Amino acid sequence: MNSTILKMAVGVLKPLFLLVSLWLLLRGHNEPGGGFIGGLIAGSALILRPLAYDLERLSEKNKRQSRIVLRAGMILIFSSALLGLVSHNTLLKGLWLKVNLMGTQTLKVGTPLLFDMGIYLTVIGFIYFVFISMMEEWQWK
Amino acid sequence: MEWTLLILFIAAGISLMIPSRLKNLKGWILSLFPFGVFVYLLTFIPVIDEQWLIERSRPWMADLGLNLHFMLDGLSLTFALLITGIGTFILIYAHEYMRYYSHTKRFYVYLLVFMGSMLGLVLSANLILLFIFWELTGISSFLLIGFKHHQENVRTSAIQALLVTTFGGLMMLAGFVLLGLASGTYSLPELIIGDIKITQHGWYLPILILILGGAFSKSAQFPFHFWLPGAMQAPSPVSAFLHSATMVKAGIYLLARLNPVLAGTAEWQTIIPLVGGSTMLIGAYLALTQKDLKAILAYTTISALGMLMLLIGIDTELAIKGALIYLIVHALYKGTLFMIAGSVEKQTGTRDIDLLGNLAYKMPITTAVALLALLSMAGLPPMLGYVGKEIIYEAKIQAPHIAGFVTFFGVVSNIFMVWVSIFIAYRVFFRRQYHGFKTPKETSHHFWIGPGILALVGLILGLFPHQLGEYLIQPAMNVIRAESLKVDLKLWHGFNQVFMLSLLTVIGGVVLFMLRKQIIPFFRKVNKKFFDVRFSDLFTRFLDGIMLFARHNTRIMQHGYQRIYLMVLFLSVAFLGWYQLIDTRFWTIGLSVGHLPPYVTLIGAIIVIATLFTLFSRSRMAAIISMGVVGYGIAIIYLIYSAIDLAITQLLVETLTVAIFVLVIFKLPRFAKLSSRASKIRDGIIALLVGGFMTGMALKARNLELQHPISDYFLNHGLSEGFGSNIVNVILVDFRALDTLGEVTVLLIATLGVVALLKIDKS
Repeated sequence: MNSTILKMAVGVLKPLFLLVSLWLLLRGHNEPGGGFIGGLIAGSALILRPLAYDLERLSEKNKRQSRIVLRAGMILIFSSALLGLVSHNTLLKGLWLKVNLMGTQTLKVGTPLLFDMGIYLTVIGFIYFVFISMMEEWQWK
Repeated sequence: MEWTLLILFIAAGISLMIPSRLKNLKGWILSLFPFGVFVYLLTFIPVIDEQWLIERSRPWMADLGLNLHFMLDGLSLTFALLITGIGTFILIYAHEYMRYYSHTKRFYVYLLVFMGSMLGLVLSANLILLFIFWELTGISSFLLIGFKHHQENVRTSAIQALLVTTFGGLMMLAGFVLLGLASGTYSLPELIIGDIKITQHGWYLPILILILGGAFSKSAQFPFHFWLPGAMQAPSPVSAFLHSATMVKAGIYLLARLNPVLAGTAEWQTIIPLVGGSTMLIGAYLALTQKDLKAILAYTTISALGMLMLLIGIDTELAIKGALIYLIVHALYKGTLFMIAGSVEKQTGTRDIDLLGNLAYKMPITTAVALLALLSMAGLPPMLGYVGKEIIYEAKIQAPHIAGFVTFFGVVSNIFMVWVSIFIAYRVFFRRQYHGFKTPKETSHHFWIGPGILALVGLILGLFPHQLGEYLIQPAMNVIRAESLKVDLKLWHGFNQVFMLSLLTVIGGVVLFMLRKQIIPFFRKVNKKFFDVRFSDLFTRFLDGIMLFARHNTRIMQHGYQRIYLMVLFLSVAFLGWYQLIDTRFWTIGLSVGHLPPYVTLIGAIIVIATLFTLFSRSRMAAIISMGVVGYGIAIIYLIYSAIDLAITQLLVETLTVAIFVLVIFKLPRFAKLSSRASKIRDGIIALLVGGFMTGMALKARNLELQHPISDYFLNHGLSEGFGSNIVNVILVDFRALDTLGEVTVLLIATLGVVALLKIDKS
């Protein structure tokens, strides 16, 4: 798909998508969003460039990166799950840390966020990996 | 005490780290570990004498009631001393024996792990822990038996040993679980010392039979005996260890250990003597017809194990005492003889007794050691074997109910044993013919130190049996019989009935040996006629049958047609779903959908039209895009009913799905007609069934009234416990995080599936 429009748009859309996905990820606990949705958007952002350009731009490096992202996601998920197990003897127990922000607001950071980030990364890695593998396999241009 | 186990397992690790500079000392260095444990255990003899039983426990899986719970009493001490003591000499012997083998690093690891597991088995104070070590010995012995795995018959024997003993082990586990349920505890000290009456329990017989299954298969009792002769494919040090102190003795240990819990019933006193007695006779008889030196020894082991079982089954004080002594006797002489057999094979290049001979002059030290062990095997004075045999005869004469029967078979198989002993001595060492492949010369000291010491111990204990009885047998008896007993062993009992039987045995053995030229061919002929059923072959055929069945099954289930997999999947969903739908009649199907705003109706209509378009479209691309329309329509409906997260997810997934479809479509041939009319109708019916079920479920679910919808709980607790106001997200990452974890795993498996499918072409 040698589309000039898409090629031109990638430069703008990719960072924008990524930013939106991060925003959705972080606000997910209180408003619509979350790791899965954020991951889907970020995954779409990452496959824009391979879709717009030829296969030559893809390399073994991209695949390796996608595997690293997948792995990092799994590590985050399992470590957040195990933290609960270690501290409270319950797998996946949510642990929260309350940080006081200049006395006015409290920021709550907890293992569920870690878990969500793990899902985010896993979904990105999955989408990216599947797309790249398929394109590479079929020499899709 | 529990550290002793750890030491052996650590030694297994250390064996890998010994630098090659010290290679010439490897066996010696490693033998220090079991030897240290042996000496350390010796210090427990006075303690055991006073206390009877020492317990140590470390937490492990406390929730399951399974801890690293160990015990040491007379019985486990006897076994532990045999394991570590003989293990020490096995390592020294192996040092020389394994010198020209490759992969010896592995060998030492297997051997030490095996030793450690065996020690763990006899020290375990918990039935489940005992089972774990039991299986560990099975696995490590499998690796040892199959050490020369480049030969096919070795692999077959190893797998046979593993399968037979594991099968028994699983039976035993079931027996343990039943025993645990019936008695309320898995702790051995509680079972032994606590006054728990299992023999009156309704489950007694199943428990007994299951546990006996484990003991009989491990201790090579008829008809499970066939794995043991096969196991002689192992290197000689392993055979010596397996046959003497470990593995096959585990079954004996188990029954001696559970004697206070399970014994004393008619079942115990019938089944075990019957199996043990027939094993004793069959083993002794088959030993005579063998030509391979190791095979002869292996069958005499079977016979000896049968005798031990028989004694445990007789279940009198005398019989247990006899069993304990014979256990030590057998461990000492059988360990020696297998090591000697290994030396002989090394020096002559053969184990065939028709070829061997005349070694007494070429290998005098080896011969002397072998003769000592053979004396013990024949049960002649002044060896410990004589002491053991006398007590065993006494026990058999005094056996309740079955004295005549067991005494007769005991004498017959002992006559065979005497004969075998003389036969081996004559054929291997004194016959004036030699047809071996090498010119034999005396072995290096590595080869005779171990067996020599073991044989000498047999002699010394025979001369001073009193001490053995007082320090080892008596504490063991105390625990098994649960009463304070006095054990006084003597070499010489005077001229009595038992002595007459001994005399008869020896004379019988000598006479049979004189007549060997007539008898052996006759036995071999009988063997061919009646015992031609080779159990190991039967077993192999049985295994082949299982494999064939599995292959056939797989061919039916895994045919490789995607469309049939999908059909099976959808049809099962439809069948089960419809069944539930019709079965839950008290839910009424509500056909009224209530008042819909006009724009929702419009979207609904668009979805229906797009679906129909997908079905009847002639262009693949158009079909995909209209599928996308269906998805987006549903997303909008979600949005209208304020399921924002769901709507966003649906939109994104729909977009990505279309993108992937487009990728795939590009590579497919043009819209070809792939399905016939009939298959279209079939697919339509399946689709209607599944779709109809989904519709029916949706309509039913609308009318469902539950007392407390789960969503209320989430609404009320989302902020207070999950610290989030987006309930969907709180459910996903907190309340139901385990589900999400499962889904992520599915995602990973899907990734693997994609990889596998894409790689299929390339292979």
